[in-house]
Amino acid sequence: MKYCNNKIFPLAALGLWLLASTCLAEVVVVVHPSNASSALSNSEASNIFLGKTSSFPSGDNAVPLDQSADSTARDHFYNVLVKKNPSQLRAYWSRMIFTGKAQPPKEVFDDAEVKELISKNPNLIGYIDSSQIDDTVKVVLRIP
Amino acid sequence: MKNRYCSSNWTFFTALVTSLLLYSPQLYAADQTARINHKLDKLENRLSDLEERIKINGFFSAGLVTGDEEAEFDILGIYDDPSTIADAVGGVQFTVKVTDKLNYVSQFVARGNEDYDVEMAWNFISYKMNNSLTLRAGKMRLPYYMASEYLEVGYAYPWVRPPNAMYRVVLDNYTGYEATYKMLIGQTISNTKVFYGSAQASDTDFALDIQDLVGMETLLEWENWIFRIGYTRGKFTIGGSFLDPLDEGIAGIQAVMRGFIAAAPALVPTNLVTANWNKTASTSLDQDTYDFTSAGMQYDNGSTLVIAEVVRSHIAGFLPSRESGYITAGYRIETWLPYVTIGKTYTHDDEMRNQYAAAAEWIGTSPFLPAESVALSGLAAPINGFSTEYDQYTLGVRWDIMSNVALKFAVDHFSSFGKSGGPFSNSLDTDGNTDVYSFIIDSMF
Repeated sequence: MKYCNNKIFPLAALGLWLLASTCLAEVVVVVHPSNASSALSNSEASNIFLGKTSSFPSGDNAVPLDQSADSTARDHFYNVLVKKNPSQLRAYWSRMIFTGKAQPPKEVFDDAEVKELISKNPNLIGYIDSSQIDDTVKVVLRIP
Repeated sequence: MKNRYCSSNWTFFTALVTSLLLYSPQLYAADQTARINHKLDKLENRLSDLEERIKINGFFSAGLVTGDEEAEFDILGIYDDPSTIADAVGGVQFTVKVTDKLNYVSQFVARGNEDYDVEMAWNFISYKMNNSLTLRAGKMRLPYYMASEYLEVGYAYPWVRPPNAMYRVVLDNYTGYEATYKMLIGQTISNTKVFYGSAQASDTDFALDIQDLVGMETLLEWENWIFRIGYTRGKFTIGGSFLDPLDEGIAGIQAVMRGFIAAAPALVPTNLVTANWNKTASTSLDQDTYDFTSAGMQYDNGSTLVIAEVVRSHIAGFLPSRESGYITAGYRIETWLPYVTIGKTYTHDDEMRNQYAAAAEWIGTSPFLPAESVALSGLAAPINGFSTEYDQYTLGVRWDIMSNVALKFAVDHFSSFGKSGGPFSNSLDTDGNTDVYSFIIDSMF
């Protein structure tokens, strides 16, 4: 019986971990702690990340940061927030770029780089996995 | 003394060499590493600065299209059958951030149909006054319809090419000034653009010049919806090897009809007696005013896509004025987007052209006229050729095969050619219909 449990435990843990990483992942939108915005609505955030506005509701300049193209955080963020898959997003950005309206957000490496850059610049806005939240950034929107 | 000096010197030198041999590789390496790191840092800064300031983007399409080999598809840009060059296009765009508020954009486009002659399709600077107002000056795309500003970027839309019934405009660039005012009202974003400028276009057989070009466009975006209205007008002068003889011929018809009506009105068919046979702006071909009024909507919830647009164009005078529209509906399944399009276009100012074509034919049958007047009957066909009408049905699919590349297939069915040759430049059977099969690879990067 004890032997059995020992064998099942790693499997159960693996199952939980898989469940956690696929279903319970939450992405949060973060800004500099001094940013005037304490919360953003879905449409305020998507307008910034889709280049439709270049300012926070407070009027301050807003510069969005994207995670790398193959990151799960990025897919989750855009799928839930703007209901667009990567190819729909590229088609959208081709309309913005080739009409000279806007360029897509600057791409950074990972959650850590998002936090590092934001902690140095109050105009930046990014998204990270909720497990990576710390006091260098402020959460303004949760995307479950 | 000399020796001692010498010997101590040698001792010092030996000690120096020894110490250098023993320690300097490390010292030298450390020094070099610091130097390289410093250089790398500087290079990285310069690169990221360059990356921030200059963006290079491009688009590319390669196609294959085939249809009825008797039809001349030149209105669709298809000169051969099958054709690989009709939809071939490549473009490169440079976006330079001059300052936080000032941007420069230039786009170079080469099309298969134009022997890949490179055209500067966009060339403007934009200045962001504040979060609401942006000003642009230079060469820009005319925002006639929803997709007019990215007509050639196939990757940007679901179709192989935007519905022909609507997107059939001779000229798509202008040079001038444009102001865009953006407002955020709750969840709605409104963008209103006004513009002023002039435009020129020429080809082997025509030259077009537009002055006093003014217009506006308003786009409202709300959740999954986009609504659009647009208006453009201008004064144009047109001429060339095709239109100039026709313009002279029209003057010839007018002279003959005026002469007949003055000398022997009883011989003239009654429906032609009352027509306007004076050479005025409204009966000439070479210059006049035009305006386009259009409206459109788009719904896209991520899986369902609906796009619909209508336009009423009005060209004062002899050239054709049209009413056109289309609706596209599609549904995304994974990376596939199958869709259908129904479109229609027709000229709505045929009356005067019908009278002139009838007059040309009647003149041709007259036993009283000299040969050069009888030859005016040959103008009936080109005059009628300005009047067109057709329906368009498209069944197509876009497949996003990999990131940055989409493949598209489409079958276009053109029918109900009530007048003239439908979408074709040669006159086919007026009750005709025809199919066009298209394949295209679209990419952006």
